[in-house]
Amino acid sequence: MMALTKIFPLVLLLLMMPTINAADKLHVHDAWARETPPGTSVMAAYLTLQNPSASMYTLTGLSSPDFKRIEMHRTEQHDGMSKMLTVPQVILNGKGSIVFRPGGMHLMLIKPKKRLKAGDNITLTLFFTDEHSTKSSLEISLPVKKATANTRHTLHNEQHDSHSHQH
Amino acid sequence: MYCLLRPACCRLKKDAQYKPPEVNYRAIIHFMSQFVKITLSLIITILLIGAAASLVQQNDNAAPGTEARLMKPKPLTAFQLTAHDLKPLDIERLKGKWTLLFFGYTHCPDVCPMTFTELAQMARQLPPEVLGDTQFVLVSVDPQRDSPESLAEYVGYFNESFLGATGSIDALTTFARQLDSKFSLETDPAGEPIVNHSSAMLLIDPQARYYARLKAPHYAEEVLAQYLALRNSYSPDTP
Repeated sequence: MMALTKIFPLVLLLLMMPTINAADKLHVHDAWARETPPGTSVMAAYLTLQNPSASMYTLTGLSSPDFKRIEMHRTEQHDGMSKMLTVPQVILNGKGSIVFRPGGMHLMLIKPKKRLKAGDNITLTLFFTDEHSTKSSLEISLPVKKATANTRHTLHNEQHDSHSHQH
Repeated sequence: MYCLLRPACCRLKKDAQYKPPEVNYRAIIHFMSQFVKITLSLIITILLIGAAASLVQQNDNAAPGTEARLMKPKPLTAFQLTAHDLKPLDIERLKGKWTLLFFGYTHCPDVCPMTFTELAQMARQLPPEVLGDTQFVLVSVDPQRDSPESLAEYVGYFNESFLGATGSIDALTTFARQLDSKFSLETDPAGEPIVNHSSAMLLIDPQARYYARLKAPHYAEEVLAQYLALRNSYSPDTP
């Protein structure tokens, strides 16, 4: 009986191990959310996800205690029109990366529980599945920032980087 | 013996009537003239291409950044929207100023704030005399959610002098059509409205004529350069 109670937390820990470790291999950088004018119900967040491991992951969704819902979106130009398309999941190849950036793919943070301003932080949980359908998650914190103007050059470079990582 | 070895030679000697084969001068002349024709036409083509290229180059040098200008400015006809200050936004309000106009909506998380961040940056870089007769307008195509009051907060966030405006779907459709722009309102499976809108930036001249169409994406420095080039090469008398 004693032995069982001693082993039980260990077994539990072992069971949890893959869940904790799987997504921990992934790196998140350049994460930020765009401060929005008062009265708006959505915010966009951007980040780069890097996968230094050889295994493939699928980003299946996100959640945050600060928002009602989070979706992945892609802004596309069709026939001179700007359209937002929902992206249900994104594949992160082994040794690959995904870039969420202004004007491209972004995280749409829907209905903030309170107005978030530059300097505030947002907690996000990213949910993944790996090649064996094992689920894992990654919790990150990202700052809200007031955006500054971009240039075609900086955006182009980011895009270029993401391509070179994916191949 | 010699003749046995060289029968042709023997025959030549024997046959006093032999004439060397006649040269077909006509064929040679024909060939030569074809050759000259082809060469000449090639040279002319190359020269023409060169001339055309240099002409295009010269045009570029004359007014870089004016490619966005319409072939012919298009006078706008009557329309009525309501601006965020609750005054009408109509033809009269466009006259006497240059207007940079963008169709969008305030619940747009990515493209609209990005565009207006760039426009705010551009406004900061404009020479004061240019800024004085320039107006920046966001026309919301989402009138159900965007009231003039919410537009006031939205545009004011980017720049106190920016204008926001909206109107009935009919008024917006008529106005957008005049600027070769369009929008559509849909609902996603979760019941959230989806707003699609033209991403071009429209430039209206001080005579309330649709003057130029700047393609997305809009970066401050590029919009600034194009706008100044368009203004500098502007002649109010253009029909």
